[in-house]
Amino acid sequence: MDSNQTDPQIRDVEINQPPSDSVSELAFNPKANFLAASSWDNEVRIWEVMDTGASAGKASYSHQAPALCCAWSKDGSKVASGGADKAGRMMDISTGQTTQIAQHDGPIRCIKFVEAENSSPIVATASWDKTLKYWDLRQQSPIGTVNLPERAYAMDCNHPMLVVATAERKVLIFNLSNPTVPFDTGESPLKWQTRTVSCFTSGDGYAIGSIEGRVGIQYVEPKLKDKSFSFKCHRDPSKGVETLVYAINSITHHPIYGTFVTGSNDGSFVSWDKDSRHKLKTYAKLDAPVLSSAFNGDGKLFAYAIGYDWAQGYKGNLSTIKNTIKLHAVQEEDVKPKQR
Amino acid sequence: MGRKKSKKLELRPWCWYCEREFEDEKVLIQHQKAKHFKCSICSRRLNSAGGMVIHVAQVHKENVKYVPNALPGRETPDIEIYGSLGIPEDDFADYEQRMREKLGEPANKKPRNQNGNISYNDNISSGGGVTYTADIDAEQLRQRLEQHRLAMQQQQQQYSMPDFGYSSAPMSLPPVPPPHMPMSHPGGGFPPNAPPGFGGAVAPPYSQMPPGFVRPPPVLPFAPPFSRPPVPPSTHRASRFSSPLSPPPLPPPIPSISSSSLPPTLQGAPVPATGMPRPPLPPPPPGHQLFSRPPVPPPMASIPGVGSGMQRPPPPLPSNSTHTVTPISHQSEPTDALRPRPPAAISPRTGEQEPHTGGSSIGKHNIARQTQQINKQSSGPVGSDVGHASLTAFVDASANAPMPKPAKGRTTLLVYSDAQLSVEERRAQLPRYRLASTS
Repeated sequence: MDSNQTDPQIRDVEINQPPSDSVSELAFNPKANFLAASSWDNEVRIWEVMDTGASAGKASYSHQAPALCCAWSKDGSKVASGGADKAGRMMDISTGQTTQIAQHDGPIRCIKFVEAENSSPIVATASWDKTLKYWDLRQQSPIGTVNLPERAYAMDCNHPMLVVATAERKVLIFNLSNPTVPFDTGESPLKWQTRTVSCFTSGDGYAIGSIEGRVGIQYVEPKLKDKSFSFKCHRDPSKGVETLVYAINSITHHPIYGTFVTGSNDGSFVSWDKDSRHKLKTYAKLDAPVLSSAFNGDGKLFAYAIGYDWAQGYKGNLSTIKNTIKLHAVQEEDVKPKQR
Repeated sequence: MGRKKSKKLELRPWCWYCEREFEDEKVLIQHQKAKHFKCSICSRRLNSAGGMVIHVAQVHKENVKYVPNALPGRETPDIEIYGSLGIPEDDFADYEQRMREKLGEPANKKPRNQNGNISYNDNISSGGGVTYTADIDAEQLRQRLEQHRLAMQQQQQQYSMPDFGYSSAPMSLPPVPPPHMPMSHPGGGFPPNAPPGFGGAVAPPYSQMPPGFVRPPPVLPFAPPFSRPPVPPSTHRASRFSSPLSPPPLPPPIPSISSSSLPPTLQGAPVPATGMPRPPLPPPPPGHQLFSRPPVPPPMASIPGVGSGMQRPPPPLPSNSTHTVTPISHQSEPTDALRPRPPAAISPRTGEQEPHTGGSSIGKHNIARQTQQINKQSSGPVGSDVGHASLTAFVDASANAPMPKPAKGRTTLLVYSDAQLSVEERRAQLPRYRLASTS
């Protein structure tokens, strides 16, 4: 698309022993360079990643059905995951023990650690059974249950804000000081199904991506709401009169600069600065959809998973599509807001 | 223009900056890179106006505030245009309208109007029957081009600094809000018989007339009644004379222009412009406006209709105004060029004098553009459109990558469009992912 695109992917390093099926979610440990990935092959894998890009598989555990999500605790000691087996599981990295920590009536689509910094871990799980549950990891039963208007599709947390997006374009915002009552229930600003949400690092809003190549920047604070906007991206107008519109599969905020990267099933990811409303960088196209992505704790490494996302059903499931995870060394200028 | 009469009515790709038509998108993009997106300092061809501006700012440390070779009012680098992507919807509709008027009229081609006929468009097709362009042959066109080139060269010499006085112009590009219109008609009228004060008093009234030009029917609810109806009658001689608007302009265009190869209008037109608050726009390069000419007649036909119909106070009756106006136009052709001319001025002559009326109309066209520009400046930033522009400019301002926006008429195709189920839900239903089937 652009003349000044570079091809950084050539230098990107493929992870050691990638999952055998496509990745559902990637998560970087906020404290150390451990990367977790939940995969459709039921496994949750954890790698240790060096700054050089070298990686080594450290641990893995499995669900009884595809693992749909994974997350790290704030202190980096635990990884939790949810799966189509309706169970939430957790591994303690220090001991290597795996326990079941959550149970739903339907597949668990989203899982996040929602505790405040330096407090005991609390896990939130959101499921296609239209509930959101909070777990304190010691009890069998949830410490809180919230009925959602629809099946949960995406969730993100930046304490004390928790955003849950569901089918039928509903978006619920929770203030974790009162986690069982939605602080705000509304509709997505986007007209199509929600794919992903990601909270701003500044904590005053979230970005939401839909299947229709569009990202909404939503501020939650009433006085900032006017600043909300949305923009189109990940579209391919080169196909005759039809513009092919791809889904936004992932939005990932940079932990330092607060810029974000959108990954799409057009096989590209793009970094944006919402404050100056600029696109910072378009990365060269990959040969498979971007499924999920994550920055490491200091924002110097960017991991992304590519593979088939099933957006075109069977017919798109080509054997040429490779499922893998790659590590990209972040160029500062690609994610740093430009000063103008 | 012969080739313009091509059977199909679909618009060919056109350049928003200079309203030139192209065979296909590729050529258009080449054109834009060469004409509008080229760095004036190192000749590097950039991909977009925004890219060019940034290139110049970064590499040459200079500020470019307008797009070179663009029509007045279209020089803003703020709107990201790539090929025919990104053209503001209003302009697109406006252009489409004009092209439709021009192309669609002859001989019941309505059925080919695929884009859906609008009611007044139908009126035109049934009432008109003559295209303005129908009788121009290639040679006449060439003549006109030559004249125009000469005029443009002169203009260029006069304003060798194309951008002076322009600094703020591009920013205020957004179209004039409808609210201005009501004012312009009652208030903006410059009586035809006010020659003395005319030159000085020009600016304000002018600044108010263009709205009708900029976006004729779509924006202004009342525009159609004014702008459209005048057109069809004007194509008939009989009805033309019955029109109260027609007499005044008749004399000027013919005698004054027809004789010399370089129409006074063209020479003259720029001159008054200097007296105007805003100097003329960067003169377009000699060549390129040839192609912008075709679109000219129809708008002129309709827009002056708007202007004269509404701006002239009712009293000036045909007989009266003929007398008063004629002298004016002879004394100072330019002012006449500035004056909105009723459609009759152009259309009746299509057959005989086409080149000249065409030429003069270009003069007017330019001026209309200029005034349009002025208007924008004077009217200040305009709410909704500014908002729109800035919003759409989100991606556009990007240095690295112009994000083409789908132009109007493009359809979008979602790769995944199921509103009910997410891909994960579908996928999870596959046998191999079911809980039971797994270990």
